[in-house]
Amino acid sequence: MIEGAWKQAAEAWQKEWEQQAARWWDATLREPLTLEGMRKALEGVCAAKERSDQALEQLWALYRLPTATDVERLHERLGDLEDGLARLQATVEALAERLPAKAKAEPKA
Amino acid sequence: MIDLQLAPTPCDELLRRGPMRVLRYRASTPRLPVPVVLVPSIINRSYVFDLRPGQSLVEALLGAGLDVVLVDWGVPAQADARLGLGDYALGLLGRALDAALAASGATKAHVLGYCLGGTFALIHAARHPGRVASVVALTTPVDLADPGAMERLVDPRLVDLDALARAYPVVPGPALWAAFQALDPTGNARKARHLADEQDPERRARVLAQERWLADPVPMTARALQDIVGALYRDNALAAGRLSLGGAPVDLKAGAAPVLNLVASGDTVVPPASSRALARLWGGPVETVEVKAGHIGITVGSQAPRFMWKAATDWLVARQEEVARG
Repeated sequence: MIEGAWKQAAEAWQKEWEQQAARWWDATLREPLTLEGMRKALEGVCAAKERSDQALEQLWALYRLPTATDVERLHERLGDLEDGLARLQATVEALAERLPAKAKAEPKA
Repeated sequence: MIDLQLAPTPCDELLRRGPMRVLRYRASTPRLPVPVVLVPSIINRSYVFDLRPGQSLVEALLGAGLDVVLVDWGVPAQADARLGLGDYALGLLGRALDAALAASGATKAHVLGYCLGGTFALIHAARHPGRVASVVALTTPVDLADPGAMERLVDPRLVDLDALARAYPVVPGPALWAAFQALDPTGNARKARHLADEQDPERRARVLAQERWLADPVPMTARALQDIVGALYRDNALAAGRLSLGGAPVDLKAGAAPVLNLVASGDTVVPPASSRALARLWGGPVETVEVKAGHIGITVGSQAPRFMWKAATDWLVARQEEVARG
């Protein structure tokens, strides 16, 4: 019985702690100072990543290896080509569907 | 270790385009003629629709005789960094519909979109009304004037989206997951406590499968993130009629297909009011059904078969007859 009471008290304390922590975090996330600090930290991470990417690209280019940008451009062109082929295929299919009907409609010479 | 048997329903690949795969589920009985295309959000994995045996919307739809096709957005690589909202909602979703229609022989498809997948479905249906027989919008953000808890994540004072896009053309999944975790820092402790108290093995497996899915994040292209956060959230462009994709405006009033709008009344990710707004913004008829559930529980919770799955299945089967009658 005493064990059950202790367990209940511990659970109640845990729930209360969770609720308090959640409320504090929610309020903190809305503080302009927190937002500013998080933004600055994120900007720092982004700037470092951008610089490291640029350095890596220059190194790649030095050894005449294709960079990520080269691969992305190639992929973009392949994508355009794929779309063009799909459009062409759709047009051919539509024409093939219309052809027999047209042949029936036109009287033979 | 429990074997959760995630994504158990057998399927065949209809199409692969960029990171996207279009999958058609195998059916043991003859399929109804108009296919149902399931569109998940791009933030999470697509197997939420087919989580595990008995916890699968796909199973329920197949059980009703529907022809079920899934759009799996896949994992974008650096080469897919150019994909933005328009590429997903109009380009890739258009190819997925083409594949579903070609496989089924139908001329129109039903589209069931979950969360942002619902927004994509509505955008596509508004732009191409002739291809969509009906839309089931499941916890779909539409009017984001008040984005609820997401307000803290999309705050312009927190993230410079352009700087993020320059550094990370594809934003890593764990970073997005961590951002969502930051909204509810004590959530994991709470869930762990509930799980420890849960004695029923089936209920434990349900919760574990759901948590496994949640902790399986997907990277997202920075361009899509810019479009979604910048245009949909910060500018509320879709509801305000200011959204332009592919060089043309997206006008929800141009949507003619009937919509079943499934709203989770306890949703903390997409505020119910944001979804309810569809009734006044959509051009066609909208039937709104509110379900007592949360954003994820509505689809994979223990009450999902009784409420959401039943509402969606009944609606889609009824629309089959309407489409057949022309």
